[in-house]
Amino acid sequence: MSAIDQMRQAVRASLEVRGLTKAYSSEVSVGPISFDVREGEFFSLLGPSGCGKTTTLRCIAGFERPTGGEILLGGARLDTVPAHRRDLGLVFQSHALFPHLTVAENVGFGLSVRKVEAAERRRRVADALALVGLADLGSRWPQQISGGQQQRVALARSLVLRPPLLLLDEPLSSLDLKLRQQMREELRRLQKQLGQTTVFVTHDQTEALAMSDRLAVLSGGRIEQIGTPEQIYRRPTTRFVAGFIGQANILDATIAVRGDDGVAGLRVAGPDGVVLRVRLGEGSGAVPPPGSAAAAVIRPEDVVLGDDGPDAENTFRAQVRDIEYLGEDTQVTLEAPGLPPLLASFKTTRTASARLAARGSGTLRVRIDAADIHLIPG
Amino acid sequence: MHGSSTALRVLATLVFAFLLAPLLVVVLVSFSPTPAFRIPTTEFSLDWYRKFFGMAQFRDGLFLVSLPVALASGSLATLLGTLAAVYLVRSGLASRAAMESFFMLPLLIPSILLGAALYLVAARMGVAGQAWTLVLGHTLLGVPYVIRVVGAGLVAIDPRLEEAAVNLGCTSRQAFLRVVLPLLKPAMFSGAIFAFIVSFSDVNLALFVAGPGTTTLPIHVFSQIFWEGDPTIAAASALQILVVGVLILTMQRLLKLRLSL
Ligand SMILES: Nc1ncnc2c1ncn2[C@@H]1O[C@H](COP(=O)(O)OP(=O)(O)OP(=O)(O)O)[C@@H](O)[C@H]1O
Ligand SMILES: [Mg+2]
Repeated sequence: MSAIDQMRQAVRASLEVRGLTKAYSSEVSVGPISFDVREGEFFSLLGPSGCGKTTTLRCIAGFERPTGGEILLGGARLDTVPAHRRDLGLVFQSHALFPHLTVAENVGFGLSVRKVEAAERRRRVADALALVGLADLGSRWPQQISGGQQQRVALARSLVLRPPLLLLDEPLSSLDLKLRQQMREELRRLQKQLGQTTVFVTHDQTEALAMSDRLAVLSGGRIEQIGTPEQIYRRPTTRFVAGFIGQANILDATIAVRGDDGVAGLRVAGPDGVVLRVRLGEGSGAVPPPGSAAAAVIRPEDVVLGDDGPDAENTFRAQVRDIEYLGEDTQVTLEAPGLPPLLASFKTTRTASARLAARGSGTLRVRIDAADIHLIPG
Repeated sequence: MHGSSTALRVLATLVFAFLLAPLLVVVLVSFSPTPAFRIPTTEFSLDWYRKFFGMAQFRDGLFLVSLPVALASGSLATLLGTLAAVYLVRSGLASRAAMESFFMLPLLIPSILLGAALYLVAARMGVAGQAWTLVLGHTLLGVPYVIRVVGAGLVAIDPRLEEAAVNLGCTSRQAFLRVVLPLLKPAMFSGAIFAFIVSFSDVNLALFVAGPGTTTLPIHVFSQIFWEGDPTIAAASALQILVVGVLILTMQRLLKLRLSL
């Protein structure tokens, strides 16, 4: 049996967090937080610094006693089990390898605590090290290997115990960019191979979007939205999520007309505000009644520049205020009558750049597809 | 800027010379062939060392009293000091700063006072002059050093390591024994060496507490200065310098080792 097959015998389990709260003081508290992680799922907690990601994870791991709520693993209460008997995998940002033990001894630590017999222990340590690609480094000291290798050892140290749930607290943020991207792919591949139920904490949205099956966006100790990366990016449900994930034009507006099939006219706030045509897609809910406040979320890449087609819906002439080259992408700030400054972006291709240059000092035609305008509560 | 740093270096060199000169003189005298304390000397002899090891009182003072007492009180101080440090740091009773200054106190109280006090108690209990009274007194002197060194070592250990151990299945006691204690070893060794040196070179306390059978080497040297005073005491002192010097170097290596972890 290969190392992978061996390790795949891990008990998979689902996690349920129900109304979890943790109060540090009358001012600082986290929660209530509720979310489910399915068997074999890679679930991320994403949010800015201080939003309660680590606190949530430490409550699950048992290092923090929740003030309220409950945590269930595979349907059984977890929050009443002492930390050392939860059998969960946990990887810290700081790796936390034991400096007085070799790499192999580090990986074998949990097995030796469980009094697993020496031969069996050696075999499982070797398997776990092979799994993370460090088969030859068992006899090194933690100080003698690189940061990325230390991270892998920390991962192997947890995985060797075949935990039903793996908790990762910003495990990649101490690595440099290149290595971080590489480890990101490696971690995800490993997680899929093992079918390992995983909760991953990060403040890096790229990381969360790239790796997760689903993610929860947190802010100020509360969950703002839970969904797949695509749902979170394309259909944010709150202003915070829209602004936090990627870049977005958020336009305050009121519903002017409501048509059939999710079609609506949206009057942008401000003097002479234009009316934008909106066509809500499947799963975006119903259009609120006319007169109610709403905000329109438009991703910069959905603002199409210099389109020569016939005048369709939502077409304007705009002045270019600012151009920013970001390498792969170019970002343009536009000004059009009846609209607040609008951010647009496009791939920095030769034709796109030429089109932008060709405008001279004049205006540019801009179009926004009605289906690319997303509504959130105002 | 540059001028002041040069001046500082000169000053530092002078201070070092001032501190080390007496030691150097003692060592040179111990190798001189004449009974007069005269340096410089070009001749070299081991006469005084021969005499030192020939005299039972010196020999016994070193091998039967000073070294065993220093070993016993050093070990005892390490045990007690480590327990105290762990309790103080872990209970969160004392902030690091408070702890440091509180345990500076015994270092600031003249040990001659401690000696006098200990003598009064021991005399009343009728145990003055016994070896373990001396061991106890020296333990008292050593404990603050151990608490400081081990306390600092404990604070420097990443609390995540203990959490990692608990996560991997250790109870908090197991986590302490398997992770914290091994990492604390260098600090404990350093503390033990401190306590050993304090005991090994103490005069003030032993002056009061030592009895006829428990005269330590420093006390012998001390009384010899009064009664005869030939370079044998220089040889005795040079031997002490050797022991203490080796220990200090060992300690430095240990501390460096811990820093590199
Ligand atoms: N031990 C503690 N005592 C008091 N307050 C705490 C403690 N730990 C965390 N907090 C507070 O709880 C809130 C959530 O902290 P937490 O560490 O969970 O944030 P985080 O999302 O992990 O942030 P980061 O991205 O910076 O790691 C913060 O306001 C923090 O200051
Ligand atoms: Mg955190």
